[in-house]
Amino acid sequence: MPQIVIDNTSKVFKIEETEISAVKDVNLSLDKGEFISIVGHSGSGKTTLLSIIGGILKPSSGKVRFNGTDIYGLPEDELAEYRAGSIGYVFQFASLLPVLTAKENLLLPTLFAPNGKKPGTPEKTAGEYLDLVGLKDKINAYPHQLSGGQQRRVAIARALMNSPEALLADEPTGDLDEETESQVMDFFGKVNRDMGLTFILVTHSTELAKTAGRRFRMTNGRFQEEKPA
Amino acid sequence: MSFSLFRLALKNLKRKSARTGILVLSIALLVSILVFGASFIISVSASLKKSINRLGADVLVVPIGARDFAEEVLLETKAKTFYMDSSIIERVRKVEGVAAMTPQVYLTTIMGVCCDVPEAKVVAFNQETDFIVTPWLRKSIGRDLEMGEAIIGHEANENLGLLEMEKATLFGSNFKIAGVLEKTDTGLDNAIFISDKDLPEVMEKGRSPLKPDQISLIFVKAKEGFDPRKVARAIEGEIIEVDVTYRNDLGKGILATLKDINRVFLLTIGLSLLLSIFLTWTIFSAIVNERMKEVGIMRAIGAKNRHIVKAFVLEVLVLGLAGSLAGIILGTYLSLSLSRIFTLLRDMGAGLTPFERAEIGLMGILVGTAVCVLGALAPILRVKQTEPLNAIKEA
Repeated sequence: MPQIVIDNTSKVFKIEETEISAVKDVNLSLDKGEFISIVGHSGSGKTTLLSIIGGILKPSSGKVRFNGTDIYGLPEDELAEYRAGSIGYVFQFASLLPVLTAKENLLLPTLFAPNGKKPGTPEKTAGEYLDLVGLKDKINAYPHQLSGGQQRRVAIARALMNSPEALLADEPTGDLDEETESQVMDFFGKVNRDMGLTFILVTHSTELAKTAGRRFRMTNGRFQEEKPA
Repeated sequence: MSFSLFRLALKNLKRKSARTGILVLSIALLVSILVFGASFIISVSASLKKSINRLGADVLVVPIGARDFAEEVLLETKAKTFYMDSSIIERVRKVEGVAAMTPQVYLTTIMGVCCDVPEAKVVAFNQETDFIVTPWLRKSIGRDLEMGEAIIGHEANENLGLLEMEKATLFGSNFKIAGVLEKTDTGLDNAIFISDKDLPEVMEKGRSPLKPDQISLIFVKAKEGFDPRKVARAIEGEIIEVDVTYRNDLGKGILATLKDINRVFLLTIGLSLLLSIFLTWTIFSAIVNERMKEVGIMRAIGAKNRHIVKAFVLEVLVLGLAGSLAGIILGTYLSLSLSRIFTLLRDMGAGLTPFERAEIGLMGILVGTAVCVLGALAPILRVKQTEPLNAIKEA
């Protein structure tokens, strides 16, 4: 059984009297451990689709199934548990809580983890993940004391804290220099391979998109798989 | 401290410490008014009740027109003199339903007269018939007063320090201090007591307006099975030169004043309450708007509605508790330090028991915290209803 199935899913935003179709009849089936990329221009609907898969934006029509469960058919609390335990989400923007240190930002999702998903020793796990993203020495630093790239790496580590089954990354290397971008992408590859996580990468970079096993393109809300040349 | 939503709440409160301070101050001021008002009302009314219960008489007989003076002497710290002829004792004795009675004579020393204790409230009582002072006297020194001896009320000793001096000059006569009475929480705590057998010498020195065969009031106990109120009416009906007060009618004037003060306090507290709720609502609306993106992020990484609500409610509770505790300290300090400014507090004397203070404190905490919760409720519920991505985008 595929892990993620998106079935005729659309999203229409209503702004006053105008309706904007951000995502149009998307169909997608992903097996556990797959690495896919979604490319497209700004406003093409990539982030909207990723938000729908991540359980943070209800589609106007269609279904999103995770391990066979229609996630938007779940009660609110169970949908929150899906977000906390099944999905790791890396946002396009700076998403760390400014009042918390790097380590506390990593510990935050563990407070919401469903049974069996919370790390046995959250503080130790947080230290290990910060070490893994090369920020062990910044464990007690606040977001304003970190560079944009460092903040992004903390956010990536946070997404892994509750051992998710799928990692969704929205332009994760958008504001990183080339060297850090390469380190982060290597890290994603490692996570995908070693931890067996399904990985969905949204990017506007065709070069980065090529690192994925399957590549998709979004144009004006339409979703299409790109066959390798 | 391990990481928890409580820690997040504390960190969020520290984020804008000036704003947090304003909110704590507003709650503290509200609670301090509440604590001060409650301390005032409870202290005075409890003192009044204690005074009336401890008098031990059913009916008071005083010269006509001296009812208020008698209340001031017995229930407050004031010193007043009023006299009637002692022959009234025998006329009262004949009234049906009178079981026992005892007279008292009230005198006041004059300030500036050489060697006298200044402005002292002196009570002369009849040790053969007395049932008002004697129980306290026996507890204190275990015997009756000898002639030329005085025993001092608890507060009078605190104010005048007579016990250490071992003797006191009253109306030109020297009295040996036999001891100090236990605290009775009545106006008599401020008096110096002497036996009425010493009155002839006091009058002989000529420094008192008292004339022979004069008394100030008569305490009356009703016979068992007789309604004390009816006994009071009977005395008043038969002896036209006196005013008679039934025990439960004592302090009615003070209670009426207290009710008015209570209304003023309630109005002030009510308005302060509304103001604090409005301030909390305004500040929390701003806080919620500022943190909408963070709320969206928290929900996107798995926070349930109850986690978000809990994080905000913890902030509200910390604010409410901090404000309430500061208010309790401020209100208690005000009620203690200003007690000499307010006539009723000064005259009624009795302070609050630790249990009464704890009750007022608990009420302060409940009100302070409830105000915070009520004010913050609507903004917090607004957060709960917002979808994660919308919350992030709204910010």
